[in-house]
Amino acid sequence: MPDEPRPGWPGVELTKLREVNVRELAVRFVFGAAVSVGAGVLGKAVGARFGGMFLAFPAILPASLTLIENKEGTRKADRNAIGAVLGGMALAVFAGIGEAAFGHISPPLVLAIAALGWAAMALVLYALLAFFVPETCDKNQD
Amino acid sequence: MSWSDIGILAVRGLAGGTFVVVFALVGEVVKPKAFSGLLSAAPSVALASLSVTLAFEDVARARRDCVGMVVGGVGMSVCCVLAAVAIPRVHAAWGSLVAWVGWGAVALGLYWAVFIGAR
Repeated sequence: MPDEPRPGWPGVELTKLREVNVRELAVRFVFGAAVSVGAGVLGKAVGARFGGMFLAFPAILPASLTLIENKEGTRKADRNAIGAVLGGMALAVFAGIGEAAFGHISPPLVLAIAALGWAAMALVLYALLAFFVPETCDKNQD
Repeated sequence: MSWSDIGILAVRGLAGGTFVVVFALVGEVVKPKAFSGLLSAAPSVALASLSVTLAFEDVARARRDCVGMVVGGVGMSVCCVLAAVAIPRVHAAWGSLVAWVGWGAVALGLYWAVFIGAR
């Protein structure tokens, strides 16, 4: 009989770092660098608002999902995508805080508050997911 | 484009790649997968780019970046929903392509509607 879903709090498994290979990290670095440069070029060529849109471009999502599917199967890639939905929603909170606060308080503080706002919103959404759909956050299987 | 602009772009690329790798490594060690997925949509590129903008340019540019990023963030949510729906059906490579197209349609459509069409 399969174990009951155990959503609980997220855990950390540092031994997973040994499974990370340099090529995977290089792919992610290249995607991240390319999107950052692309957003900068578009910001100069078209306008800061247009370039800023690409700060929320799903740069590493496709690479991550493909790597996860190849290594750990479709189920885990799908679970990762569900988590990314929540992270994506929280991204709008990050941007909204930046839009409202830049120019009013110290810029580094704005970045810190925006990052904390993203983390807080992402955690709240994850807690709601774990409460209402516990099987998607099952530590036994994923 | 001046040499100074090219230098700033290089710093942007370096910072963006580094932040993405750091968030990816954190995402690797946390579980379950739904939780590590949060970090797949973390503001890694945004934190890097906005930091570079604040260091070399001005706050007004950073604010305008964030205005555009709100639109991109809505697109990101739709893109992730599409990825979650498509991946079990067509696997990650095609699912990711569908998600990218979805991001483009939503973000560019909203950008046009909010900043161009509404005027």
